[in-house]
Amino acid sequence: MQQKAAHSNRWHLRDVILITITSIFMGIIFFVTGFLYNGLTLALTPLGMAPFANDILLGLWTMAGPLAAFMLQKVGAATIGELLASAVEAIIGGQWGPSTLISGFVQGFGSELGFTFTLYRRYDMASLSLSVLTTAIVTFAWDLVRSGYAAYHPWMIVALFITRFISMWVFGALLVSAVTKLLDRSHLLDRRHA
Amino acid sequence: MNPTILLILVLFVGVEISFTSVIWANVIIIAISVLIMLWHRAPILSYVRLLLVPLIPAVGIWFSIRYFSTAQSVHFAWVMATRIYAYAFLGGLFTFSTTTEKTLASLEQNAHIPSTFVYGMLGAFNFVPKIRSEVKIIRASAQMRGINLHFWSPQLLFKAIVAALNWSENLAEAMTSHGFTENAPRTHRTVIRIPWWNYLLSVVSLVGLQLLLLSGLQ
Repeated sequence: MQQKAAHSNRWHLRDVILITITSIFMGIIFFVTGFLYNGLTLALTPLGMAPFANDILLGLWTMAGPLAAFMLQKVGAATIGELLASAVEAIIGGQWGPSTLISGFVQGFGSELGFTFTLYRRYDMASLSLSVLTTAIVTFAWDLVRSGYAAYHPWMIVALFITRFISMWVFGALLVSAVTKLLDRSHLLDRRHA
Repeated sequence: MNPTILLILVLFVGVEISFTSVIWANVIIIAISVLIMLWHRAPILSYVRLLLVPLIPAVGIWFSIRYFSTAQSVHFAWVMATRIYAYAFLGGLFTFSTTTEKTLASLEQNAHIPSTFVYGMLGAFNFVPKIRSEVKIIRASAQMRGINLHFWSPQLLFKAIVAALNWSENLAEAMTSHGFTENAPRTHRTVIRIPWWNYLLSVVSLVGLQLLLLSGLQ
């Protein structure tokens, strides 16, 4: 089974299963996020600040991409990881149905760009932060259209972007790097990256 | 309708209403979705759920557009609120028209998604109940040591990933030993075809949507 000498970019059955199971785990762990999101939206609605609920929590939903990239270190891992996670969310009953797939693809593509810029050579805090930045920019451009962000006052647009970047950095860089440090210490991924 | 064609249609409509602001188009999409759900005899509770779940975000975005958008347009506030409902009902339409297994099978045969992905996902979905209990076990065992693992704890995610690593190795080897070969050509017991009227219906729906969107432009 372990005859791959060079680190290959091919997707094997166990990679697909690993990412899907991890996504289901995250889906179930983040099922709470749905309630959190609704509660936060409810609290912010009288202030007219409801979109902030999305941007405060968005980092959680975009974690699958960087985590998959770190675990598999393959070209396309971030995109496919986030897309699979969104498919899992859509299938186990997320509230947005197939449109989750569109968001998942946009988010995955965003975080993929960060790793593309490092030519898939660096997997550390720097590349995670870069990936967070590209995810924030790409998803924000999409939300300017989809969620009508472009209609807001400039100060609100800037505030939303900063909120989103901080959220994505806390979850997508800080938390993911904490998890991957634990994984590195366990040496469980060594065989896969060999 | 063939799940692949339906998925492409639903995604296309979803992307298109994201770029346009025609309230009527959103409302008609919701109405058509309800009709299709009625035809598939969706349970009453699913309509209640589809009405209630997007309520909070829809009301939330309505108020923020009214308060903090540069134009403070009532029209755009309604566009956003109905758009959120249109997404939710498009989801309902798709969910009640097909099943996960049929969709994945059709994606393999009609959209030619590599079989490794299709069967990998199908296999992994069987772990859903096990994953639920694993999350409970991880949290309970931490609590026994006086540690409370929140959903943002790296420890919780790490332990989940360790379980995922073990299971994925085992399942992949089990599937391989039962004769699954990655991306090898397969024969199918049920061959999924795309009937001609699927194409016709998709084209008619899309033309209808364009007319609707154009009429709302002026």
